[in-house]
Amino acid sequence: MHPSQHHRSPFACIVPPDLLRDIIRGGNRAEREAAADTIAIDSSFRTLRAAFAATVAASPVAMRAMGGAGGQPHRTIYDQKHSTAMALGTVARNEGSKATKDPAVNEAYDGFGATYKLYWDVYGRNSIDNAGMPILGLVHYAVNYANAFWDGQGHMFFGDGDGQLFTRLTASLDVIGHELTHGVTQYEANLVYQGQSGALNESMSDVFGSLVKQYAKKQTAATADWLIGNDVVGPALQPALRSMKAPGTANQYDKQPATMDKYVNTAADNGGVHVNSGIPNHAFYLAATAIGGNAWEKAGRIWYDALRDNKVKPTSGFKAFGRATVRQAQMRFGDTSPEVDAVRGAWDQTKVML
Amino acid sequence: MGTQVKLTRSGGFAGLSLVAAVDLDELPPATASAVRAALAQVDFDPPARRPAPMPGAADTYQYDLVVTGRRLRSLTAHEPLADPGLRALTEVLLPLATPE
Repeated sequence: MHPSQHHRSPFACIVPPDLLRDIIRGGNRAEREAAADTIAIDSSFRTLRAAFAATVAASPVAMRAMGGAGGQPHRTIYDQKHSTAMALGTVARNEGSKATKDPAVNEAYDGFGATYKLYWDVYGRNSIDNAGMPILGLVHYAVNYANAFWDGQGHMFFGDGDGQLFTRLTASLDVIGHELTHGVTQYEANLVYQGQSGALNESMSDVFGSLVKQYAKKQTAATADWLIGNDVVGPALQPALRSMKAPGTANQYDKQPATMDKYVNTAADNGGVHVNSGIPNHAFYLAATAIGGNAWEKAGRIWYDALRDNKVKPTSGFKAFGRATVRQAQMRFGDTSPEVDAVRGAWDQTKVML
Repeated sequence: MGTQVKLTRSGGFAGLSLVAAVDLDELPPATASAVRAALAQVDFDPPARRPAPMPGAADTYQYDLVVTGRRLRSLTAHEPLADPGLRALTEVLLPLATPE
């Protein structure tokens, strides 16, 4: 993505520059610096939103008006009827309505529910934007479409699969969690979808996609399979799409590296974002298994906090993110805690020098 | 030397690259004509394509096209493809593509 495209985001309009200048005048030193950075860079949803949140934090009325009390998703599933049009199709299921006869519709609805639940129960996050944003899924996109994607404008598209690479994409909880997390990332660090920051963006989606599955199945770091897409791969990609435990071994075409010395330089796929995500994916797996227990509780919390760390910028790479995970682990668990050791050790093993 | 066309579709949730590399002289005549017809419509001019994904988008496909022959032409485009020529070309060539 070209950096200038960030400036065109409609979200950037929500915080008027005047308000940021007021923060510079009236805020404490950290707030002034943050606001000044925001004006200077004007590139991150997260910093803009943090500045906005700081101004309304003292106003519960304003917070309620932003997104209600939280705890309840607002889902709508649309049937695209195999069209490649990107406009919303026919409403197939609304929040609170009964299951339909269409498995893709119900899987998307339930998968979004499970994803919302992880973010709300464990991290206190209210939907994609943490302000109750509607969760919109568009199923039966195109004909034999072996893909799912996030369009950057609040919509998740799911194909029915081609039967060779993938079967129906909605049948996988980690795929649904992966796509919704692209939305979360966009509203937090807003990692640019190119090169290392793009691979980090991809890794966030695999990490929290995997955690959605682990949380729903009540699997610990030791009992989870750490596979992505194993429920929906067709014969060509058996037995799974990606492995966080052993990147590069999931199927015959899997070229993911597990360590930084094997980083793949390529022009394909926005600079190999789905290949190099293997490195931070493996770091998360190593940290979660070293800490032990449920991966969403401690390792997931550290990674979530790092995604919201204001030192992680849209163009940040593995090193900046790794440092943020160490910093967040220190703040939450203490400088000399086993959690910090586990996080440092994980990045060290993936040869990302912090 | 005939015209060689290489179309790569990379990215998507799977991040798998599919490559179709053909020499128009060696294709069945009907397929070669379909490729020529589609190529004639492709706009290689940058404003007509999408060199980067939609802002904030993730897991959409990237297409890289390289045409060699009398002159070299290439482009990178992202989903959704705005160019009807490029869409037609993907319909003809993707069935011939193999994973890389």
